Amino acid sequence: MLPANFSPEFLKRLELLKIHTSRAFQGRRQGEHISLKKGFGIEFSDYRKYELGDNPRHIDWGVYGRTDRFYVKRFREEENISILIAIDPSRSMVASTTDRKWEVARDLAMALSYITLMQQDSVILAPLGHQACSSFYGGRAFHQLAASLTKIKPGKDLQFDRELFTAANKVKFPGKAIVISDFLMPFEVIERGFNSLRAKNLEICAVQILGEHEVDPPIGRAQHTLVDSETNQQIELLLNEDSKAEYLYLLEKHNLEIRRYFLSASISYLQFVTSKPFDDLVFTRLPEIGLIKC
Amino acid sequence: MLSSIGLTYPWMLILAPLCAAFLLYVYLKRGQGKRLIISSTLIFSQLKNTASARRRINLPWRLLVELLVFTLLAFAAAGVFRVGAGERVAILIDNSFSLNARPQLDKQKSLLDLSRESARKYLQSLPNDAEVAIYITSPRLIQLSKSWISPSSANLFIDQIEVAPAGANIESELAQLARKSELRRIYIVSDQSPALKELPKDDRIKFSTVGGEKQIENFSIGDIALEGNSLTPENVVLSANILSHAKTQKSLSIVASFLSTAGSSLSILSTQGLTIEPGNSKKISFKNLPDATLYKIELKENDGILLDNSAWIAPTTLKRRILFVTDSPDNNLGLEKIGLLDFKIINSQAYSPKLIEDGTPIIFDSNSPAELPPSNSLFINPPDNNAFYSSRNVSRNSQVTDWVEAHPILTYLNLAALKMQALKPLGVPSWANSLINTSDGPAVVAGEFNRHRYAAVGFQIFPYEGGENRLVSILSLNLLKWLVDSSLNNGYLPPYSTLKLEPTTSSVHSLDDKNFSREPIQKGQVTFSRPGAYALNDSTRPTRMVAVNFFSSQESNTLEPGKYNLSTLATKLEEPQSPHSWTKLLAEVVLIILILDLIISTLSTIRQRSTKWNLT
Repeated sequence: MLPANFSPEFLKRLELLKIHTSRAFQGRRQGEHISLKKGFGIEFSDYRKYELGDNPRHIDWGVYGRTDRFYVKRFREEENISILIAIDPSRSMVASTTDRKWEVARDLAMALSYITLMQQDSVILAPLGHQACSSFYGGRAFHQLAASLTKIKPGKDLQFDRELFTAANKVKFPGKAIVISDFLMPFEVIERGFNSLRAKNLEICAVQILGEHEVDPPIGRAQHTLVDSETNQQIELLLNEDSKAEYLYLLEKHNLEIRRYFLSASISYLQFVTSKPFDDLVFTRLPEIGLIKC
Repeated sequence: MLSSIGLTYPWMLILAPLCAAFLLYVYLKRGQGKRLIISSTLIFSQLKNTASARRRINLPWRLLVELLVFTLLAFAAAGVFRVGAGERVAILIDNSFSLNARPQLDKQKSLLDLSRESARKYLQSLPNDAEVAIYITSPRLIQLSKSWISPSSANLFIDQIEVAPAGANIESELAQLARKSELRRIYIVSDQSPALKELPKDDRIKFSTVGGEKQIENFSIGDIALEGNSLTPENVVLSANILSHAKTQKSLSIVASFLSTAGSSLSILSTQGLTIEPGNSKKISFKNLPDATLYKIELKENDGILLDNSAWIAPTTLKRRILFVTDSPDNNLGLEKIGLLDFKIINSQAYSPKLIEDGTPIIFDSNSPAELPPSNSLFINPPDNNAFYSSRNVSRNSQVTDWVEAHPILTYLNLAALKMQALKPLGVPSWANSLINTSDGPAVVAGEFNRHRYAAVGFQIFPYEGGENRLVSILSLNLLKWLVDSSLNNGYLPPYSTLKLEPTTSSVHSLDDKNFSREPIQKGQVTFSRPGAYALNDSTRPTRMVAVNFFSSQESNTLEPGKYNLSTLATKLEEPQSPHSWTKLLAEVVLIILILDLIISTLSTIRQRSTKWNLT
């Protein structure tokens, strides 16, 4: 059973999208790189429309003769772009039921997986903190992937950097990595985690999911005891106008630090607040950062 | 201010800081505010050090209220009181007549002197900050010191105490004092001792009995009287009742003396001897009395109490005024023969109820007012149209048929022999009775209405003829006696009697041969506080003598002073609070604060319900 966002119309719209990679990966353009799979053979898998820049030797003239359209052959190695989707199911993602951060993250992972699978790329689904990293390929694998995602019970304690390192090790070939988290952790942890992904020469995209209460905490005159959902650290605070302003400043500062790092590491970054419509995230925000294209 | 506050249980004050510390802990704990589980405290942990978000200790007003409440309760528990007040002590001194007794006949020291010594000794045992009130028992419970005084000042009041010619109702007075919860101690000194069959449960009371170690013998005069009929003065006898409060037979010498009308000092009439058995009473009489305004009987005996060895009697003591309303032109009503009464004669036109506002008895002779007078009244031969006794036609030669035997108006009368020349039979009002009935109807009617006595006689009893018409005269005297409502023959007043004086009375002085003093006249009356003979000096009339006696066999009985029963104080009163304790006040203040807090909290809660919001 797919989540509510995944209506037939939504899926149809997703089919029109493609995961965009800004780099050429090994095997993507035949003849440009020595194939690593020597001796294994190139297995024809499918046709695709000719695009400028494609090697003309891959044009299937037989199809052209039949259809007067240029199609190139697609080979399995060429299609074996793995999209690592690392999703953060830690407690911070489910601390607030009204924010629905986990649901948004999960739906985003599902949407990206669907797009990836539809374009015949493989998805390595890596829920952080969970042992199994499953690999999915082909459109038919979507439901299985969706079921895996749905079965994940968030709220686990995890060490972000170590889990990302583990997930990165599952990737055999360079490709793309999409990390979905709230990134509400010390910068050093984020840096370590992403560095392990960078070491795999992956094209990385970071999607930060934040809840409404995190970007606009409610204020009052009373004292509050704030409890960290993951570390159980307790902080007593007076949330008023002044302290809220300072909080927002500090949050922005944290996010800015992350963005600077991402920028320096050529990691595309997107921040999404769950109060916005999900469609907006998929069809507007993701294309803006170049993660997907129509 | 602080030095004037004391604490009964100072160690209880530790509750105040303990409660305050506990309250602060609770509020600080409570002050942590609402618990919110958030994604991460990463950002907030940086925030907590900033001034704006730093936790503030905003202690709500409620904390202050609760701190105040606990502090007040701690002080209440510690028994805060005003220092310098000390405990309140009442000293009740029996100054009844029996305290005149002398344990040693050769000395003047009386039981009252011993009582004073006992009281002073008790005062010395009290702490300096004790507050004392001195009470006497007689003639009633009186607080001599109008305010609380120190033990040293109380001695002055004790010195001023005198014996009163009265008894003492110690039980009742003790009960009155015991009801005063502010008293910590009650000390009673008396010649009477408590009946200790049941010990009082009120342990505030301590008693001291004086004179009990030695039995004091005493003889007293129990009564004095002029017996006989004033119609035959030569047969009047001066008599006295002598009481023995001794253990052995005794021979006594009694002296009778008199004060002649013109003389200013007593002259001895005669002396008689009397032997009296122990515990008995005996009557002695003196005959052939000279004409006198005052008689005195004196026991010549050096006994326990000397003051009860003398008695006076003044024949004209009770010359009551009576208003006589008559239109008779003949002033010869014979009223002067009735020497015991002072008649004021007016005509019916001059009569007004205002004349008898002081309760003067009134006689209407052949007339009657429109309304019943507000005073004892006698209607002689009331007119036909009178409003009270409907009368019939005059009848002649009426015969007495029956009468009411035991009525005081009819005492000493041989009514069968009563002859009435002209009788106007009377109607009998519903509130009256016919005392003498005749063949023609009621002749004498009497009754009480609105607490006044009214009598009517259907025939003429004036002019008063004395011995010449003995029957009617006796009837007249009986009527007058019943009208005046006092003993015409007692001849003396009890102590503390108040006598209304004529406006022309210039002075009143005691004729005591030991003590010549002037009694104070206040607002036209004088109160005789001591037994004795008194002269009322008036420039317009001869000096009147007034005799005042105190007779009490109980007070004169020095052998058996009596006991007072403390079991009437069986119920122990609740623990008396120090009058200066603020415990009750503090508790009341706390209660008010808690009630206000409850009201305010309830209102706040009702208001908050409508604006609640959920964070998570």
